[in-house]
Amino acid sequence: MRAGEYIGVVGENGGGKSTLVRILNGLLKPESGDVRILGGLDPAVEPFEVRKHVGMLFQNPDNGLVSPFVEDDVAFGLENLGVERDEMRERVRDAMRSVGLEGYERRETHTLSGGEKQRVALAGILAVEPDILILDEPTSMLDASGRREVLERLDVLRGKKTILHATHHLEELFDADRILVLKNGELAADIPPERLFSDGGLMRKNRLVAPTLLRLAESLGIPPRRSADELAAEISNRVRARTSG
Amino acid sequence: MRIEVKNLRHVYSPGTDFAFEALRDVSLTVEAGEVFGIVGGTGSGKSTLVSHMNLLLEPTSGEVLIDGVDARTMKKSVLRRRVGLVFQFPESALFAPTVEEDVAFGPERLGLDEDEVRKRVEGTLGMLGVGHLAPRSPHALSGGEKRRVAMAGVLAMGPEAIILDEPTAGLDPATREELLNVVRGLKESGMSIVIVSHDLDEISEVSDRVCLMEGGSVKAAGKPSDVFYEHPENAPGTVRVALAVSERLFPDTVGRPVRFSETVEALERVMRRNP
Repeated sequence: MRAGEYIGVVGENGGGKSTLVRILNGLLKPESGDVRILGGLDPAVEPFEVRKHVGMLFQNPDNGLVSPFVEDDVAFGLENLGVERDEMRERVRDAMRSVGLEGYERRETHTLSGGEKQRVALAGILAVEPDILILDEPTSMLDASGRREVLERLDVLRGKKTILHATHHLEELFDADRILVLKNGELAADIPPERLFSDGGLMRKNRLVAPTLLRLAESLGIPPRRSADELAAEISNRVRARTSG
Repeated sequence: MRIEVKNLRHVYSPGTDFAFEALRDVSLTVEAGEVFGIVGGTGSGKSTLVSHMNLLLEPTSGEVLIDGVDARTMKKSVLRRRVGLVFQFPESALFAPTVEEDVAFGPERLGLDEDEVRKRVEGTLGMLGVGHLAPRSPHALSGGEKRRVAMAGVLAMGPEAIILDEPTAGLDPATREELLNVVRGLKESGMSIVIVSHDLDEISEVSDRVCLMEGGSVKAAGKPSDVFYEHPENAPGTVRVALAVSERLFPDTVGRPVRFSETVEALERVMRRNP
C-alpha cells in the first residue's frame, strides 16, 4: 500500500479479511512473513508504536466506545498517549468537527444511533492523527442512513490518509484505487474497482455479487452508474432518444 | 401459524428516569405461511417488536395472539418451541464442542428419542448446507458457517414460525443469497417467517408483505409495492430506479416492480416499447 491510497478488501466469509487487518496493527502475529508500517515499524514487535500511526475502526459500534460522554471518548486515545491538556482539547475539537459531531460533546454515548457511535469512534481515531486507517466492515451493523453518514465522512478522508477498507458491500468501493480480493487466505486479485465489477467470471469465482444498481444496469445493457438517479436518467434518455427518433 | 400483534406498547425500565417507550400502539398480523419483512432505522423498535412474538419481552400493554391465543397464557417452553427466534449474531451463543452436539441440544431437551434427535440434526444441517460440518468445533468455523449452525439449532426444535433478526448482517453476498434461498425453502414448507433487516434489497426479494417501523410505531404496512412506492426514502434500489424513470418520463410508466427480476422486465419493456 502506498501513502494516500484507498484500498478495498473483499472476499467471502473466512477468506482472511479480518485476520489480515488484525495482523496489520499487531492484534495478531503472523506465523511467518513480514509487515512493515511506514517503512520500518513491525506491528508484531512494536504494536503500541504502530497503533499511534494506524487507527482501526471495527464492525460493532458498541465495542468501539469506552467513556460515558462523547468528548471523553474522543479524548481517550490522546490521554493514553499523554498528550498535553490544551493540545488535547484542540485535537478533540478538530476531530469532532471532521466527523460532523460539533455540539455532541456532552451527549451520553449510549443514547447515540449506530451511525453516530461509529462517527464518535472514528473521531477518537482521527484525534490520534494516524497516517493509516484500517476499517473492518465499519458499516455492516448500521442502517441505511447510518451507513451514509459514515461513508460521507470516510470520503472526506480520501487522499489525506492511507485507507484500507474491508467490506461486503461492493458499492462502498466504487471510488477505491484498488480492491484486494481474498479467498481461502490468499490474494486472489489486486484490481481496480471498475475492472473487478465488470469481470463476471472473477466475481463468481470469488463469491462476490455486484451491487443491485450495477446488476440492474448490466441486465439492461447500460454501463455502470453509481446512483439510482443517474441510472434512471440514462434509461429515460435512451427512451426519449428512441421515441423522438 | 398466524401471529397477531394488537395495540402493543412496550416501555423499558418503566417508572425510572431511564423509562423509554420503545413501542407505541403497534398492531399487525403475520398470516400463516407468509414471509413478513420488518424494516426501519436503528432504534425504530424492530427487535423489541419481534422479541414479543415468543415472549422474551412481555407487553406493557396490548397483546400478542398466537393462532388466536394470548401468548401470555401459553407455557413459555411450548411457545418458544413453536415460535423460533434467531437473534442478531446468533453465533455468539454456540457453545458445544461439536456442531452436531450444539444443534442437538434443543431437541434433546424436548425429550425426543435419540433417533429423532439425530434425524433432526442431520435434516436441519443438511437443509442449511452445512451437513459436512457436523463433527467440527463450531468455534473454528467462518462467520457464515456459524450463522447457519446457529439457525439449525433453532430449526431443529421444529417450530411452526421462525423469526430472523438481521439474519444476513456481516455475511458475504453469496452467503446472503444462500440464506435467502433457505428462507424461500422454509416458506415452501409452510412455515411463517418474520424477517427483520436493514438490507432493503434482500427484504424486497423474499417478503410477501412488509412493515416499515419508525420511532416505535408502524409507519406503513402492506404489499411491498405499496409500502416502498409510497415511502421511497426507505425503498430498495430497484424501486428508486423505477420511480425515478417514471418521474422523468410520465407517471407510472414503469409500473410498480419491486423484485430484481420484475424490475428488469419492467424497465426493458419501457426501453423497447414502440413510440
